[in-house]
Amino acid sequence: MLPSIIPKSLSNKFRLPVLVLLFIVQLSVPAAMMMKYEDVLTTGELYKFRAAAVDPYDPFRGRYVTINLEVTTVDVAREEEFKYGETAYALLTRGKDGFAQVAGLSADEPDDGRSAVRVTVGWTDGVNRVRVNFPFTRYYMDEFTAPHAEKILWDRENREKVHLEVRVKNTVGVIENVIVKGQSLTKLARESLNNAVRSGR
Amino acid sequence: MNLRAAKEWLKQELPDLQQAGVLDSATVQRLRDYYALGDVSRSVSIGKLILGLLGATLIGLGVVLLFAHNWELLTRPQRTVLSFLPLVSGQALVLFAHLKRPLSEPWREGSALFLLISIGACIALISQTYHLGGRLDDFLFVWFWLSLPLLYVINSSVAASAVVLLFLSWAIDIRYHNFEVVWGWIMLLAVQPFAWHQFIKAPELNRTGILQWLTIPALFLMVGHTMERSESGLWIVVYGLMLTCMYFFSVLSQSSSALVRQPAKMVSMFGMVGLSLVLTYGDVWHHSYRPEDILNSTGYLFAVLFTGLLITVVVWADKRDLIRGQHAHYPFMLFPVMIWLSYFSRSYAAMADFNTILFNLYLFVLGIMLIRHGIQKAVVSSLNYGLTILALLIAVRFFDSDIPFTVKGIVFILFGAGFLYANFVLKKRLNDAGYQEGA
Repeated sequence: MLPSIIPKSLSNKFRLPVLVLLFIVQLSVPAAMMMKYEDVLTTGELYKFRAAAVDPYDPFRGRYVTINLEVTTVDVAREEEFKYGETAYALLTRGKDGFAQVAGLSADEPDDGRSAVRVTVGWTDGVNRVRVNFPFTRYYMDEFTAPHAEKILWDRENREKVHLEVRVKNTVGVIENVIVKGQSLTKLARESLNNAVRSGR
Repeated sequence: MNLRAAKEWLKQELPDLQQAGVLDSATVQRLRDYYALGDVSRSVSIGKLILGLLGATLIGLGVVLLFAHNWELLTRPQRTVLSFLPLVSGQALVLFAHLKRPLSEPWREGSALFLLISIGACIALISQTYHLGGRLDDFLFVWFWLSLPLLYVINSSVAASAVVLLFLSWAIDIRYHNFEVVWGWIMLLAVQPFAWHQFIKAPELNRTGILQWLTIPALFLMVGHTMERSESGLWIVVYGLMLTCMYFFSVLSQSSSALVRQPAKMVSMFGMVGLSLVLTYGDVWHHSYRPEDILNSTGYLFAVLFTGLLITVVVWADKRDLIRGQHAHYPFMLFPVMIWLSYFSRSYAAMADFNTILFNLYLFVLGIMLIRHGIQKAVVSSLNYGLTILALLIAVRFFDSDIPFTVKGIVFILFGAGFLYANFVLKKRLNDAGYQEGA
């Protein structure tokens, strides 16, 4: 027979404190995630991004609307600085129309107080233009209202008039709302669902 | 009467024999142990365990599904409380099992599995509440590390299998992303002390077998990920050596369990034949392999590592008198030598055809030897293994388009005649020894 490399199982005296310690860690990791995003939502700066969307499904997290931002590329001075799949920071400004614009891309976190959001670098195309992937790609919705949200978003009339309201703090961005023609997508989808129920469809 | 029917008969007979005073209870127990008949209390406890695990899994998944509905009417603070509810109840169950039911396996394993699922549910729910896109591999990574200590703290082998399953999903998903391969190794290694412990303490349990069945593909996946960038013939050497290592490892463990419960043995036996079959194709060898820059190649690192490991395991097994005189091990001893030889012959001497012939011969001889052994010693498994190898080799060569039909035809006829002759000789010998055909 082969020898065991764990000579004795963890002795019972230490088992309980270790178990409690493990429970604290298990609780604190999701709690820390939650607090970070809660902080961004309550104290972050508001940015509006123009967007378009479709509607898929995640077995763990439920139904969501996929969001594609209009801004997907950034012009940079030297694209060699950015490698595919790595993290970079998109510097944010607001245009004359009030919507967010990406003023530049930085490989390191900016420390001069400029607003920025963490993105992943996509393909570069050889002319100093870098494709970036923003972290706000999903908007989770109630499983019954999500199909209605999808219908609203695919309506030709609305397609040009969708934008995201995103809170940004310390390079972390969290979606606060999806707006269609000045109204909340959740509210519109809810109304559409209620109408459908009332008319018996 | 076959073995299974005999065992069934014995199992029914034992209580009567005990009652009639033919056997005492200790002897009955020894007979049960020897023939692995199991006893009623054990199957009841296994039944309880399975029911407990199914219950925990279904409730855990049900909670995930309910949350996935995404209740729009709930405010963010309410959602937050809800996210932590399953996690906290899972922890409470584990704590209860630990303090109040320390000896109950269903309680321990079931509560651990429920806690493990609820960790995933909690993280998923936070992602949902804050609309985090995020990647699946990041999610699985956090889930893995928060669950891993459960194996060691509450000694749960079901949690171990679940954690390896998380690792497998992570390792498959990560393929499509940029990643640090070293993290995969750290994750895989982190499970190993427990897996080893389980393997030593309870090799006969199904759970141990399942854990190994999950760990072996994980190991191959990680080696594959790590070598992915080297476009050389070294995959042949590395996988060949890995399979051989696994075989001798199973020899060393001296397990008497069924083959299904010895994944290392089963995978290596079939893997070696499969790899050899692949290597009988000329195409595999005709790719341009070049000698590599030894210092910069992860492939070489693995090859050297596994060679060292193989030598250690074989020497160790030999010290315990498990190698010499055991003919069954010889093909596995020869295999790594052939693998290295053919790799160098291809890399430095461009002898692709030599390698093709070498592996054809190897499989052919191996098949014949196994059949011979099977007939001489009346070992059906050996006979079947040998016949399968030959049948596969014949099928593969019959459809092989690299060899001209004329050559194939002549070789097939010659070998066929050889078999008929062998059949004739065998029959003659059996007749001489007084066996009657068709008995």
